[in-house]
Amino acid sequence: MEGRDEVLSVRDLEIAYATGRGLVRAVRGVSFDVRDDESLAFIGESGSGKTTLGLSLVRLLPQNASIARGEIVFRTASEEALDLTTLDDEALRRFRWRECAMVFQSALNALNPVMRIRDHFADTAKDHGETNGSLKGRALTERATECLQMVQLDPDRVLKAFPHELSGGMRQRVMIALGLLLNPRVLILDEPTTALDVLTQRAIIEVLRTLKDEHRFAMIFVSHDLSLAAELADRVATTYAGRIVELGDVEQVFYQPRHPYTVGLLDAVPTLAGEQQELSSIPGSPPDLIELPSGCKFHPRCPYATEKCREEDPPMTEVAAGQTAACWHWEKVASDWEARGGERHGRDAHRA
Amino acid sequence: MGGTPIELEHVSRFYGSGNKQVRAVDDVSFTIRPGETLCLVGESGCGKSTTGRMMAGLLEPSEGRVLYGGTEVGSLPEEERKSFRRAVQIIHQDPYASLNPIRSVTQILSAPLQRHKLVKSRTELKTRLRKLLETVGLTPPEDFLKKHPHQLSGGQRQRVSVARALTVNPEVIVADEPVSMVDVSLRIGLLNMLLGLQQDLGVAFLFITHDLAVAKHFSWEGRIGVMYLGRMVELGSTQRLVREPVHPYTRALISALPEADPELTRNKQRLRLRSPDIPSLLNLPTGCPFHPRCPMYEEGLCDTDRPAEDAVSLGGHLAACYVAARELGQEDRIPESSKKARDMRKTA
Repeated sequence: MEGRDEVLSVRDLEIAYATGRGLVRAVRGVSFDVRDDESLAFIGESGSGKTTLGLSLVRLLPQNASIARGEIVFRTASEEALDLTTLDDEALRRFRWRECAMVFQSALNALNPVMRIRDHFADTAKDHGETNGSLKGRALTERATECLQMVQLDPDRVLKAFPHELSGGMRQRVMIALGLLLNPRVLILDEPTTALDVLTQRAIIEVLRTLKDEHRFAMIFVSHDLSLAAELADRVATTYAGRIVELGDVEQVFYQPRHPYTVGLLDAVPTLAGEQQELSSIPGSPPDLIELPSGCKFHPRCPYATEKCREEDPPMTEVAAGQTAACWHWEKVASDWEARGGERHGRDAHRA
Repeated sequence: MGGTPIELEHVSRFYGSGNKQVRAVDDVSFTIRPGETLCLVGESGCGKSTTGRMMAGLLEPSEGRVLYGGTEVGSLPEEERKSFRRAVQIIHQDPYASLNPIRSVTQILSAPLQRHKLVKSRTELKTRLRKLLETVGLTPPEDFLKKHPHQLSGGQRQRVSVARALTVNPEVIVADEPVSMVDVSLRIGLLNMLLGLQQDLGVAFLFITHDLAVAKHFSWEGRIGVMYLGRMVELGSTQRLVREPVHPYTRALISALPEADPELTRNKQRLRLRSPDIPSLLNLPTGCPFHPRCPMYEEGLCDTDRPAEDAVSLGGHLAACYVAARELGQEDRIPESSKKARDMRKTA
């Protein structure tokens, strides 16, 4: 990977929450890069640390969370390298939304119910915009109109509406438009389609796809929904117990998975196309992040687990060009996957 | 297990009154036969849960009747009413809210067994509890009997809910989105366990879900009913409905669903809706409720009369769409008023 167009580089990031029961290690030694024109999806179950990771990229972690180690380096439009872990409040305020914006998971409740949509735009511009306040009045209305059109909403109707007058899908699109207001280089979306109906989900996916095709910025998705990653991601990172266990191009991760957890997730999701499939769930439950298992954190649920897995946490290893996985037995996983390759629905249904 | 069919006959449920009245379920009919699986699919607000609650006897229909073995549930004599209550059990969506937090698993499961006098002695109770837990895959049972809900994961709690439903040997289980709050990696395990109940114990299911792919997996041998704004728009065998959907709403749902396969999902044929937004139940469109969004819409034909549930009827496969009826050579099922309205607007 060339370093030139990377907009974000995260290295060895560790985040923990202090709780009554002990330290919750939500993010453990995560490293990745994002280029300024690609979309990267983090997939994993609840408690895999993906939301914490997303929040850390705009430094909006809750009070009891702390970044114990690592760096988050952001390259701004003016080629300046910022280490987010060291920024002060004022610098962060200028960074957020102008460089990197986030669309929150609870988008349906994230808008202020007593404020019109227009005022949400004004607020965002005022809080994060230029200090001399160039984005206000006419200029602000024009930019807000443009952003709403980008997400296929009717600005005349939406700008003067209160949140309760809009449907869930429209509110979600307003949240995306707000994210775009200051033209960020990175947009983080936390479960952007969860809790929306299928046809509404489709509308959001199409909006995001168009944005991705027509504008140059990086998107980072956080989702438990594999199909969202299949739709929109250029690269996919599978997360488990606070770390990335597999990272690669979307085709690599879906068609040549090398980590048993990725394989398990793929085997657990039914598709609508094709015949009835054999599906199986991953045995056991996601781990307790306070008392993590020894060695590889997936070993208690893994069909490939051996003594070595119980003792040593595997490092990320290159398994193909541009694809890495953290598994001692990835070669075995690969040959097993290839051996039953024929039964995999998509490859079959599609390449036949 | 017994074999009593449950029929819903033109069942409706209204909320509110006057011009604020909402028809949450409007004239829905179907029968659950013994051992059968029927999935109700639809978006939020389509009336699928309300339909399920009416079938379980938790909600009375505003119009229409729910029949148990041919008798209206409301007028069943005391004894038979009790057996209806036992025959139909419900599993709720949220396993965090549906179990009493201060009761242990043993207490949760013993209560219905003792109330309905289904066990005679303590030893019998113990054997039965162990068996129930094994049936729902909570093994070894000793590990779970003394636990309280907060000590269990979402998936395990949902299994306890299933075990509780099984205590009274039900004929039908109404499962209202039983897996939607469970982690992805555990969902299929739960679904497969429920499928096992259907196969091993012959329990019939009314399975309510918003996820067509889950419905397909769960009722491959059964049927799917698609609801939209309180109405059943298509009802037929799963395999046929998934492969050759008749109603444009079903087609839209299938084409919109993202799949966990990059090539498949990115190359899928998309159906363009005329409007992305769902109409309000308070202000329903005339004629077919889907017509403002429908890509097959024909002026006059679609916005005059509401299509009957069986406007298309192909060997038990029903769809409420006049355009599809005409395309499939069932023009005779379109009422004269709609034909007239269409022709008038065509010439105008």
